[in-house]
Amino acid sequence: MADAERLAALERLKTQVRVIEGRTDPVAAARRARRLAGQSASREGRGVSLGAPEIDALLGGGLSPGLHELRPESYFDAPAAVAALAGLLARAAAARPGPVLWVRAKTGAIAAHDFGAPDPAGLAALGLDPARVALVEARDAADLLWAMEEGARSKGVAAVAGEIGPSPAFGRVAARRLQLAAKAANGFVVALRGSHGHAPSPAETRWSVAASPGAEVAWQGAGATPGLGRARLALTLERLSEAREPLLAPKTFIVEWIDAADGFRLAAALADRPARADGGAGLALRRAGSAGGADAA
Amino acid sequence: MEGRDSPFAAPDRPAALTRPEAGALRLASLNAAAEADGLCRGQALADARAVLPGLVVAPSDPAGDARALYALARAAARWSPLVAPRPQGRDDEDHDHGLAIDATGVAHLFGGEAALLADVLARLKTRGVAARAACAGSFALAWGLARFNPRAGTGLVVASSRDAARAARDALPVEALRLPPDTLGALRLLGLKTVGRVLAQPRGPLARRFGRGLILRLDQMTGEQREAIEPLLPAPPCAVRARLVEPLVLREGVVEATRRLAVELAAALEARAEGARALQLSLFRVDGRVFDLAVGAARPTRDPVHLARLFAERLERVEIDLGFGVDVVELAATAVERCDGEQASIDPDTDELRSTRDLAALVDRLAARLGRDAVKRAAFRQSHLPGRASGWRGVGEAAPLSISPRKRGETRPLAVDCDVGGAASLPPRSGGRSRGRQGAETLIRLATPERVDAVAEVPDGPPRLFRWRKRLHRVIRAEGPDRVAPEWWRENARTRDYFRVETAEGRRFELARDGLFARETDAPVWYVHGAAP
Repeated sequence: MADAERLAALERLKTQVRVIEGRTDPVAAARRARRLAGQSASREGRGVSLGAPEIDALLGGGLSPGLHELRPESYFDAPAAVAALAGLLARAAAARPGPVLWVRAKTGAIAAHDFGAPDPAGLAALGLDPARVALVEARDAADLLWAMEEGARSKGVAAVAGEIGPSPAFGRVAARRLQLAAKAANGFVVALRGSHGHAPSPAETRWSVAASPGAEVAWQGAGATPGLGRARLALTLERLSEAREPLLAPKTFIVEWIDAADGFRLAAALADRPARADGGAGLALRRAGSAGGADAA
Repeated sequence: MEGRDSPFAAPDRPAALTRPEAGALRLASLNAAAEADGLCRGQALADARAVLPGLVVAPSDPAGDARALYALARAAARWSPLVAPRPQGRDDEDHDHGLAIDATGVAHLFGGEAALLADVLARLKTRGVAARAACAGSFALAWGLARFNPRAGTGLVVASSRDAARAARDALPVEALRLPPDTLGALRLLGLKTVGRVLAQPRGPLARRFGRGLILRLDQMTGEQREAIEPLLPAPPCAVRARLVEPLVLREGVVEATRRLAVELAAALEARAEGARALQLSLFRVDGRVFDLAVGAARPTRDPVHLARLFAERLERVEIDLGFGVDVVELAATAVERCDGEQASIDPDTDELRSTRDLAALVDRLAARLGRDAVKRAAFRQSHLPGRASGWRGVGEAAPLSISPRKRGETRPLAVDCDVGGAASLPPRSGGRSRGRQGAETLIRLATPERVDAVAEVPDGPPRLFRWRKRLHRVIRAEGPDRVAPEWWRENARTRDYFRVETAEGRRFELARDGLFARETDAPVWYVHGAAP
């Protein structure tokens, strides 16, 4: 018993060190997460937690199987929404066995809303093993929805992502079909929609995603500009299905992605820490880091 | 084989097809009635009309004839997998249209060779094709018998006994040897009017006088020289078929028949320790039309449930007119690969195998409906250009999916720009690119980088401002450059500096400057390559 506790504590500490040093091996992290997630490999009733306890508590433990919707807050937030989508998939793939299906419109079909296809190397960096991903490029909206539904119905699929975009074909009926299919087969489906013009939808949850200025770092990036810290996303929970406690007002969380094992983490704890209350040396370091950012902004 | 649709359907009216030749319309082919009235091929149409004013005439359509012949050959696959339409090529001297069917080992399925020929003739007759058929020990002999033996009209079988074959052969006219017209004329002048007479001559003088072509034809006729046919479709490595007493007229029946055949095919594949990578379902309609449905598998499979489901998807999607029914269903594995039995892991949580199998099954189902190019797997390549190093490849494209994920640290081939397995588990550690942070790979990448107007403070520095998709983006943080030298084997490629930038709103993009300022170009061009995170 004592051994098990010691090992668990060690594992936690290792994770923390990896997070601090920013050198987690993403795919290994995903394997570890799967190991930690539980013994049984069945996906029955298994939700997908985001990793941040504050958000998971609000969701009642995590995102339940079913349809979830993401939308970018504005046109140029679409890449951020894809990042959130990929993060959710990585979490789902870590928690549930089976392949991941990523459905999108054929490249160039709606050029103005196309920010590009996911890059396998980018997915791997997030902790989603690209060997588990099948990408479907659908010719039209009907094929796209069919492929999503097929994935949702398939028992062996960990998660389905659909970049639906601002397509009018995805109305209330289509969303309901997907939701029912996913519920019936315990599938986890995430639909990425356009930035505006939404009918009410039967999805379990709906999130609005925006980019958020990244974590500050103390090193110089390129030229005289500061470097890039961890990317941050502003996730706004807009809708939570009636089954759970009502969501009175949209709630916004600023999150950072750690890796597939640890998922998202609230950035607020770091960002809002009163820097000036720290000791002198720490203060000096932070100033040096934030100075460039202040200049540029 | 001669057959014409209406208005030539009435065989007792003389009819002919014409084609322009040597400055006049000439008769290309005739029916029996016209031949009986003394017309012959090559005769000018004007002369023929003078002889027979009531001659029915239509222009010949060689391309249409060839198409019809190919359709007929495809339908003839119900009798044997090896069928060749004749003539096959331009240099084939075979002017009469015909089919060569290799009936080796299939005749017993139809109750013997005579019954097989009767079936062939009966089916062709219902299609409106008048045919003569013969079965013999060599293609050359069968060819000659079908055309020149009067009994071929009802299906002629020459017994394999030497004497019977010799008698039938020797009685054939020299035309049965498929020789050029001038050789034929010379043989006839010499009084060698039958194959038997020619065969009786000493070979040496014959070869000197007429060349090796005649000797070759004689050897083919006697069976000394093997004659190969070029089948329309290569014989599949593994195929099963069902012959149905009652034709299937409903789609559900076809699905059920396919399900049963899939079980048989799976057993056959298992006996060979192989799995199918490509399959074809052929439906032979009673009136001679054939429908082919092809599906592919992402990895070799012989799971009957999976195979049947793939075809069920396809059958649902395609429009097939079953007409009066389908009486032969054939399921063939057109491409097979070695596929040994698999040992599943005891620990289901780390069962990579099951995961791979689930994915392959899903991919096949999607590909059966959406097309094999619409479903893609990750593919990695050895390249320093981030856009080229990783990407997606349709499951229908050349490289097969590797079943075993590539392990970290495994050595990679040193060939430049080679594909390293279809679904390698891990991307190559990005070559010379030194990334500051883990997870700094660009997540989404534009298919075609988009040109932007950008302003940089210093020539080698990151952009401070860029305009993309009608909006000005102000860069407040940046990382880079990752300088990637051009691949020397590409012409006109320039050095690229990749920057990852964050705008004031926190949006992250990957930009690249094409060309080094002052050294390669005076006006470097900026492109947006991708975005997030």
